[in-house]
Amino acid sequence: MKRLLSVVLTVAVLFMTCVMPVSAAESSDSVEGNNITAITSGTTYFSKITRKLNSLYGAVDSVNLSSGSCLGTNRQITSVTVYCRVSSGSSPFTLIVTSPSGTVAYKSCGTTSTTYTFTDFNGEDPSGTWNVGISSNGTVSTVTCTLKVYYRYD
Amino acid sequence: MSLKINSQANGINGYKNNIEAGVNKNSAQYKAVVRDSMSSIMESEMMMSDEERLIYETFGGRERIIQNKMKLYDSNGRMINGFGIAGMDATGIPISQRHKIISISEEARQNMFNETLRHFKAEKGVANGDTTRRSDIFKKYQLSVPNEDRLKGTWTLEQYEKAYRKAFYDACKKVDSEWELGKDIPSGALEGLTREAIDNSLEKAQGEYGETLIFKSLDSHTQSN
Repeated sequence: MKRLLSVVLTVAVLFMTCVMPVSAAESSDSVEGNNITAITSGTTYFSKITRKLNSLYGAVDSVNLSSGSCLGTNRQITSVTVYCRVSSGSSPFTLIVTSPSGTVAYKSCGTTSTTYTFTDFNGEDPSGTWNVGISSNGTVSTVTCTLKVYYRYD
Repeated sequence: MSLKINSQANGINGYKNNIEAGVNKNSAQYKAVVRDSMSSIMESEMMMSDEERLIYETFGGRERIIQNKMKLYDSNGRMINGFGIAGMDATGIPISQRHKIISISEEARQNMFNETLRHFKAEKGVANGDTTRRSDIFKKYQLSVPNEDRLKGTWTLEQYEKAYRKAFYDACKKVDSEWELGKDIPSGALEGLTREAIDNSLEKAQGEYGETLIFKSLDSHTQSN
């Protein structure tokens, strides 16, 4: 009896999952490759990871990252975060981020893996090529960065 | 053996002397590095073991770091961005000071209009970061104006870009109310749209992220006669 009840409950939950509406933004938007089939206002983000960046004695190592396709026609960045995964033995370093419009902002970073938040790009359109780089403040810094750009659109 | 050690020592000292001799401590670049990075450099040095310190000093130490970091700044001590342009450093500068609408040359606005239209047509209205050339347009503009105008000018140019894109979108919807991003552009929808007509229909306004440009009326940016 208990087993039967458990099966019935499982089926009921699965049925409800299939018919319950999702949030307004999700139900209105679908992105298939580069084909955006509907517009609504909403918020979203894209995330890109760099290769391992290596900086010796302050020399800058940087990479370009493309945003890929972005939603909507009117987009505004609300926040940018960069998770820095710092390899063991790295020296403190400077993290330098440049947006597609050329705005640049930097932060002094330590030797532990940390997420850094930038508000300097708020209001800008996130679409296009970003540049993320590091400059060691010691002998060597090895860091892999995950850029996350949050934006709203309509 | 002793000769070999002496020659090695002279080689290392010579290397270090070359680095120190190459650093102009009165330059704006040097002062910018000291201002922005010295505390972090010193923090890094304090963390070093004796062996790490020996290696660090052997290959140039602090002066080598400073010499490399000076390349991050132009001759006036302004930070250079990832695309090689100075004067775009927004670190610590409030939005209220840099998100301002200023006068932009007709050439820059036309370049932005042309690129926005090209990209809109090529991608059926979708913003594709892989194919847009908007960064090239911004860079070209930034190289054409003084450093002190670049942040505000770039923000202003971006507001024009946004207005052009909205005009293209509205023009497509006017021809086909069912049209959506990613679908084929309705035939003739974008014909006759001019930058001048769009520019003339814009006015300055205050937005959430600073000054912006909005359309004076719904019909003012459509095909002009």
